[in-house]
Amino acid sequence: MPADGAPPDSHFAAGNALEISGEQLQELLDAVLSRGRPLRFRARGFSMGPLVQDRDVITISPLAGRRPGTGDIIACRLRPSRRLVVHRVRAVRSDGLLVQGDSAFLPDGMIPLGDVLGLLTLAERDGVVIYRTRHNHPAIVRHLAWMVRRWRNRAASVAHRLRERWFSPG
Amino acid sequence: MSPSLAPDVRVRHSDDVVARLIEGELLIVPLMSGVGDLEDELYTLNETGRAIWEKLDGSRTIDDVAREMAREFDVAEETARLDVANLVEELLGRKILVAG
Repeated sequence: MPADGAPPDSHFAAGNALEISGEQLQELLDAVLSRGRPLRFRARGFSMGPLVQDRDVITISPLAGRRPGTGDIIACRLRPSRRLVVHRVRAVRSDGLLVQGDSAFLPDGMIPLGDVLGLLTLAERDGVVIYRTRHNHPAIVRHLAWMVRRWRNRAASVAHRLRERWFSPG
Repeated sequence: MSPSLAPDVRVRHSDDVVARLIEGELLIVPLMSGVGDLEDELYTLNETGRAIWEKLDGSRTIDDVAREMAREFDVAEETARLDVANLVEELLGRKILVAG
């Protein structure tokens, strides 16, 4: 509040100029998802590359009773750090989910279902949708779609390496 | 007081926002569009804004809030009224506050 006679200061800051911490993001994610609404925010980090890259804008939606399946990308808390990550489910086991970033060498470990906050439903880069998933599809359809994407990416990667080998100068 | 806002108006936080005090910062996320959007609609209030926010519970009039703010922050009531009215108008415009 300004001193007497001075114009009122701005109490208010808004928009994407605000930088929030991981802790703040996690609490907001919890709060918004618990109201049954998705949360859209800018992702940081490289562990889900090349699909989701640093500073892509992602939307995490509530589980709403759905059980994540293999190939789904989930927001979850890691133990013991409680750090928030958005990583892919590699396997579903009776005691939880095996989760790993697409570009990570090792899985994060088993994540109890109670530590899953929500599902990645949308990813955008420079205003263009680069990933969208329909979680109302049956788990088997989502799993098959993931397998197809995975093999398509591997084939593209092999083709790229072969092209580099055959057509590299010298 | 801003001409468009009567001093006896009562306002409260909208049910369609998430407001959390985290690490000393009040963060407000509107949910009116159906999505919490930190890219386009994340708001924060400074210390005095936060003090005003906490008093806007629907039980006090704008004038009550201004008087309390003047006392707490040791400023003239007229200054506090202008300040409270400006913030309330801004938040009403964004539907973060609603009539109490």
